[in-house]
Amino acid sequence: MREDSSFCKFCEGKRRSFHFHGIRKGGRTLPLSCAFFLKMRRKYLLRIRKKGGLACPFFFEERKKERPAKIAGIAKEFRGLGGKALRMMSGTRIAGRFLDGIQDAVPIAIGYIPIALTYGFIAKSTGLSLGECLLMSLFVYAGASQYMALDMIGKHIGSLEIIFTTFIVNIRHFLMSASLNEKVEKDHPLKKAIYAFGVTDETFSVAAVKNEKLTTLYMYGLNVLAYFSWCLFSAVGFIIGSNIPGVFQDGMSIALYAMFIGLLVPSMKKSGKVLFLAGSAAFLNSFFQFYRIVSPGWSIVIATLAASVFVEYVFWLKRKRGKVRNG
Amino acid sequence: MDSGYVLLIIGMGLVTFLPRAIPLTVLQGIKFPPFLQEVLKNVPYAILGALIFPGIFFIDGENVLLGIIGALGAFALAFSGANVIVVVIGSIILLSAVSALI
Repeated sequence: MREDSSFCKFCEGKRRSFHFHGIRKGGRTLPLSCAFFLKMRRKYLLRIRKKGGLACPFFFEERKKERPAKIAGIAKEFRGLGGKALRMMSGTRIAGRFLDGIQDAVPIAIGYIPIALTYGFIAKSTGLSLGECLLMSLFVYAGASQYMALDMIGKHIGSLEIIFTTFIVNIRHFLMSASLNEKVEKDHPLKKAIYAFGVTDETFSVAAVKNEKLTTLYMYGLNVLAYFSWCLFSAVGFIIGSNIPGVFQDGMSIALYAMFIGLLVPSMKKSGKVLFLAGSAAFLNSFFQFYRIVSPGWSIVIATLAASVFVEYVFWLKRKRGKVRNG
Repeated sequence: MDSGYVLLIIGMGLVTFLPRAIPLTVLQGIKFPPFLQEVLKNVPYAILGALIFPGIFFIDGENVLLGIIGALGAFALAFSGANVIVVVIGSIILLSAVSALI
């Protein structure tokens, strides 16, 4: 688009004022700002905004049909002035900034406090040094497997077995990472590998229920605060040990579950499919764990996969039947 | 530091990192069939359900009362349209109050 001169190539250079065009691509409509617009100065932009924006009528028509969040997601694909203006005009916030990530990580950071404190305390009573306790939080950064490892160290179980069990417990991250991959922007694999380290149940949940496409910077922001909270409070837990007030422990133990509920309910209110998904996965997971059919690590993976596939199949059948009826 | 523990931690770190990193780095640019794409989009909501239940009932060990109260409180707050952070802080306050009373 940029290589063009100061003429709009979509209207063959007829219009010199600010406008957008929509083009259809794979079932969705992409607004395209013209080359002319991309070259415009800020001064010019402001003047146009004052006038209420002389956008191509086709674009506005399409815009009404699409959800604002979707527009913002599309707008993000445009870099520079064009993208900025599009975002400004669509009037939606996009999850693009580092600070947005930090902000969204606050509930996670709070939720990690009791778990990390308890972890630090147990590490101390298991016989780990402060350095080892902190090193595990820094390197492994996975609550459930760290607890499990401490338990196994306490029972003098061999390292290889602990590592293998850790792998089993964390296999669900594979599923999360694959799902997250559909939502994040394309970037260098090395940059993605860095934030992939921060994928936990909690950071994944926060990121995955966002409506927008996620930028790498957002993911960094989200992970930095959560990671910091986890590591800091692991060490604090080790140092203050059993002096954690009981009432505080009781109250805080709900934090992460409350966060999961707070993330799930808004989508559940909007869509029956979400209710169906969460309900069936919750039922399956409870069933597996109650009857001890599989270990808790596998239980979550199997319940999630089974629910996701089953619900999608039901909706697929429904759509197919709907099509037959309409056709 | 005990070198045995350090080796254990490095090993654990590695087997935790690999499942996290492989899909995000390797799958980039690969287009899945639509059905599989939809399944992957379903995963977040299903996993939230599995993470909440049955874990929430056992926040106070075997005594499920506190978990049930917490779950009801959090769901009520969330259904009233409260922000995530409000749900979290509200639930903490509720549960602290209840456990202080019991």
